[in-house]
Amino acid sequence: MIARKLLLFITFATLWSCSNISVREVADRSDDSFSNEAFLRYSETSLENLKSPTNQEIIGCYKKDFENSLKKLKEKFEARKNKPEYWNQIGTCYYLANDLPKAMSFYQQAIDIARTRGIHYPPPFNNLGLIFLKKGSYQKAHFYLKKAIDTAPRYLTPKFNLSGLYIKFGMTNKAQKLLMKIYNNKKHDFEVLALLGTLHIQENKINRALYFFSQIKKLYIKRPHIAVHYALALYLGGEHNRAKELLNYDRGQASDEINKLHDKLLELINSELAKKG
Amino acid sequence: MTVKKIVTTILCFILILFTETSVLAETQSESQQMRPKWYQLNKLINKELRLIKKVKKKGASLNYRKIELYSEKLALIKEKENKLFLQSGSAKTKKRFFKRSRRLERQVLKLGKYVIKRYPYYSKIGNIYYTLALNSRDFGTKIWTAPYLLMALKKLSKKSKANIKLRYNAKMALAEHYYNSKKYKKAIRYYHDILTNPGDEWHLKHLYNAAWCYLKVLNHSKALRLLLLANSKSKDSRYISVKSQILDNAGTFFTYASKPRAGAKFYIKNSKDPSLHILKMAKTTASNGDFKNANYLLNLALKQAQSTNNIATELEIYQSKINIYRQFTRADLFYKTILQIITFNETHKEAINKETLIDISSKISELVGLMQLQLSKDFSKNRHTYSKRKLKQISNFFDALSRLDKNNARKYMYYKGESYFSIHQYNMAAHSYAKALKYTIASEDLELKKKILDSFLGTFSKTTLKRKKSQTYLELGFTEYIKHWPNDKKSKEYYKRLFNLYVKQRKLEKANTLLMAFNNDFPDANEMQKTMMTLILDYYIATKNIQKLSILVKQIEQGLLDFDEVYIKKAHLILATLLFERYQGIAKSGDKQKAIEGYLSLYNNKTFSKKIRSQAAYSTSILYLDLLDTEKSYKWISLSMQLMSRKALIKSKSELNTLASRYFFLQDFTSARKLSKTTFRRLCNMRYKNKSTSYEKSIHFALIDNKADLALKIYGHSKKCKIPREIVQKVGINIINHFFDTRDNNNYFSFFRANIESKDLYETFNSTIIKLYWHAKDTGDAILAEQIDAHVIDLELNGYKDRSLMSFFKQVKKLNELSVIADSFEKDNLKTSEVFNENQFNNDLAEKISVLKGLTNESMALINKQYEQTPELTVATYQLLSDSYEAFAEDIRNVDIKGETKTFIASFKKEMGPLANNIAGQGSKYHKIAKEIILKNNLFTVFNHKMLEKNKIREVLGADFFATDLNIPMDTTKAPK
Repeated sequence: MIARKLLLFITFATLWSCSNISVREVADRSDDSFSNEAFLRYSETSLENLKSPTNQEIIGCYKKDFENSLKKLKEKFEARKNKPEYWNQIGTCYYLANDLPKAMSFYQQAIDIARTRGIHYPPPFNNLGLIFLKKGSYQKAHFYLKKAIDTAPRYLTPKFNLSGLYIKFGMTNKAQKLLMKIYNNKKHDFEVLALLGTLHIQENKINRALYFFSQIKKLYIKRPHIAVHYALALYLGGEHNRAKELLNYDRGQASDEINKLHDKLLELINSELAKKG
Repeated sequence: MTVKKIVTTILCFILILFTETSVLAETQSESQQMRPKWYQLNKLINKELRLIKKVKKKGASLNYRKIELYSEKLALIKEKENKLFLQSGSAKTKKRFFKRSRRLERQVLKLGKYVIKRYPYYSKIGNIYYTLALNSRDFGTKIWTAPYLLMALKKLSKKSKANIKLRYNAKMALAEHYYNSKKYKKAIRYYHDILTNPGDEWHLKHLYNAAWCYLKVLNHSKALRLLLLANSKSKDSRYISVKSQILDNAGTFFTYASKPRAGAKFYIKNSKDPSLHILKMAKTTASNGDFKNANYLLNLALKQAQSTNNIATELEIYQSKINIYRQFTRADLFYKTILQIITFNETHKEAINKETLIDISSKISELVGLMQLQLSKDFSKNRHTYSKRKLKQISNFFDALSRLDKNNARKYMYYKGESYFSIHQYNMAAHSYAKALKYTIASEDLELKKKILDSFLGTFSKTTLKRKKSQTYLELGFTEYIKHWPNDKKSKEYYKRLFNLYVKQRKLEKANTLLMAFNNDFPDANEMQKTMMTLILDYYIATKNIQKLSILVKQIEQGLLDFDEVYIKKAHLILATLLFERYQGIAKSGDKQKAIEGYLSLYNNKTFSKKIRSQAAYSTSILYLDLLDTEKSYKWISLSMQLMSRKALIKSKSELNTLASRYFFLQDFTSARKLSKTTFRRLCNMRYKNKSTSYEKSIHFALIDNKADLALKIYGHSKKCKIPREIVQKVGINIINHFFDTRDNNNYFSFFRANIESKDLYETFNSTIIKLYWHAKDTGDAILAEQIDAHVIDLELNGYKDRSLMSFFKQVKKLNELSVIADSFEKDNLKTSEVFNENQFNNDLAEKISVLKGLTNESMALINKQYEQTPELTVATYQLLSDSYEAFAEDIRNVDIKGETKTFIASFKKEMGPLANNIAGQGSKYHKIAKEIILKNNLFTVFNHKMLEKNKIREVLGADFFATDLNIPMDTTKAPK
């Protein structure tokens, strides 16, 4: 029993250390385009203020208290087993703990329950899409994200996630269509603005890109992902000093991939600055 | 008598004074020792007699003196003889003791007669007659008493004053003599004379005796008058009182005078304790047949006795009452008195001694016995009718007897029952027998008890008692009978009947105890006892009395009543079922922990069958599951399965599969995996519904629990376990997809290699390995690329039979070959020498066009061969062509012409321009096709960047935009507050 618990703890600890889920807190809820759909960008305070009893356990998962949260979710089994939300929450807890096979399994259960009960419930599709994105199974990721959108078109989160896939693979038009729907709904979501900016970098429309990046509140500018892409736009727009300055952020929170981009960009900027003398 | 004593005393004094003492020559033993005065008197008398003897001529006076002395001596001798007689204690030889006095009396009489005859004129002849009369009376045969007294009166002159006294004494002696001789009329005559002398101190006695004489001659009023006169003078101190005699006998006088009530008043007035006297009167009155007055007196006596708290008299009165009431057949008063006696006895404990009690009881018994007999006779005679009043009386008497004579109460109740029985009052008889029986419980009177029981139990077939009462009585009867005669033949029947009674009354515990005793007393009645035990068990089963049932089942198991194995097993099963029901109830009420304890007690009890224990473990597992303790739940389901037969396992398969799924959904992946694996493994050879599901789940759970080896091992058992092909295919596809989706490449390739022959999986293998191939391309994952290459070689070597996949890799190979050609083509620019040689240039151009044409043809051929599912390869081919054409067009545009004029160069470029544009246009055309394929098929490949031309980041930074960093998991579809 103790050994098994220890194993569970080690598993979660290991998985978490492998996780790339970073803090992407939105300070002002009004700036969060997805606040009605996703808790990922909630601050701890905002999470604690969530009153809904059905969300208490998943909040714990977002606070990285996986073991306890999963245990509590387990305790709600009888009461909530017929709710797709319940299974989605368990899936997400495993997802956040980076235990993707289990997350997939529970998301699948959420889909099955929703289908059985005739409920249009997009979250597990969206979340399965994210898992496939992570694993580089882009076709499958596309399938599930698209499925999430088709299941309930009014939700924005799957649109945002799918737009990222489109941008990565140069399908900027498709991405723009999706992002503009989100942007038109709420214009100050820093990650939506960042994606719009990135989209325009891909299209080499640097001014347009800078337009969107410039709308991001200062508070979020120094977030690694934002800073690198904004800096790239500035670099491409010839504003090398500003670009360099923007890259001066806390790199501790950045992913390896962002750090690689950061290093390359800084090299280019320095080179240009060196040329200018 | 008294007069004589006085005379004797005077004489003695004279003798003492004038004669010397002499010793009587008699031997005296200590026992014959007389008072000293006796010796003195004797001595004096003897001395005087010796003196007289010495006188030769005695004459009348001396002889008279001699008569007197002998008379005195007679008194002394008689005194001594009396003493000796009394000391001997023998009545038979009385005469022997008084020989001497008789002889002397006869001598004196002879002497007296001699004197009278010899001296007829002697003045004291009357005195001699008187002395002889008294001697006859006191020491003789009394026959001379009356004649000599009469002679004395005759000879004693009335005129002589000296004779007055003696005459009075003679009359008195005569009166008394006649009185004692019951010659009352003669006595009255002399009393009449005597009573005229009120100066006599014995006057009252004479009155009293005279009264008696009158009574005897039936002059009752005179008698009463004299008695009352004597009584009235009793206070006079001159007289010797006869008060007590008066009181003793006044009742008789009043009664005979027909004045009993006056007598009662007399006693009340004169006696301190009149009750006994009144009682006596009552008895006399009753004996005279006057019940009314007798009853009056009895009650009055009782009242008096009670007022003086004279317990003994009170009891005596009661006794008299019952005698008198019985005599006058007054059963009512008789009964009333008995009740009074009972109350008296209860109030004054031990006031009635045993003998009296027996006496009273026997009188009552005697009476009631007669009444009982009469009742029975009347009943027979009068066509079964009887006097209810009499019956009531009999009943009352027996009740009274029971109360009075408690030691024999059982007997009286039995008789009472018999009385009822004799007149066919069976219910009442039963009540009485029951009472009698109760009284015998502590008694050792087994003879009576048996009689009672036989009557009691024999009555029931005729009674119409209420069921409850009847059952109570029967229980009492059977219990008592069995207790005292356990091995009697009847007991065997009574055991059975009592048992049935207990069962009917639901007194199962008693029934069981009885059954044990029955078994002990009649071990040969085993079959009957088994049937009885079955009844008990059935009852406990019906009432779900698990505790009792458990005890009995255990006893049966230990050999009680020799039940066979089949029955014991059946009992066990029933018990277990009940226990299960009970624990289910407990669990349902919410106390799951307690229910678990219950189930565990079943499991741990090895006397239960494996099946029951397995079920208990199973239920324990389910409860732990309810408590969300999946680890314990698994532990117990494992233990349950260990005890399950295959058949039971098959029966439980659906539940077990559900349980495994439940573990899984409760996130206990290990338990889910283990349970599903065990279930599947153990039922591998069996045919059953949902076997495929079990197979699927066991593999799925193993995969999710990161036990790929196990999943593959189970998968490998498909043939052995006879899993349908389509299921094996489905599961195989799932395994492939799992390894693919989780990028578990090693297991993926391993599984691929292991199933190289599984045509059903080819399609999935093909699609996934192609995706992997492009994934390696996209990510630049060289290791994966190498793995794929090696795997493809492996497939070739092992004769992978799917042509489409091999074709794909051939096309890839071809594309790679074309890429080499295209690379070479792109790098091999049109060269010009120091001096432009138009022919040489034309040749080079033609050759390049030729190479491009060949490349185009081969590429188009490759595209045409590609099947629908590999649009990436088509895009790659078009991209190759597009790149080659664009590179060639650029090469033509950039040809460096040396050694020619500017005009020539301008003219040359003008001519070459359309060619370059044409080639570039063709390249664009290929580019466009590739772009369209990408967008149409939503391809997310490495080709997108170049073909879609929206890849500035890659262009600048050499790496892709990393989209996953901004991924947002979706949590809710509701707006949080």
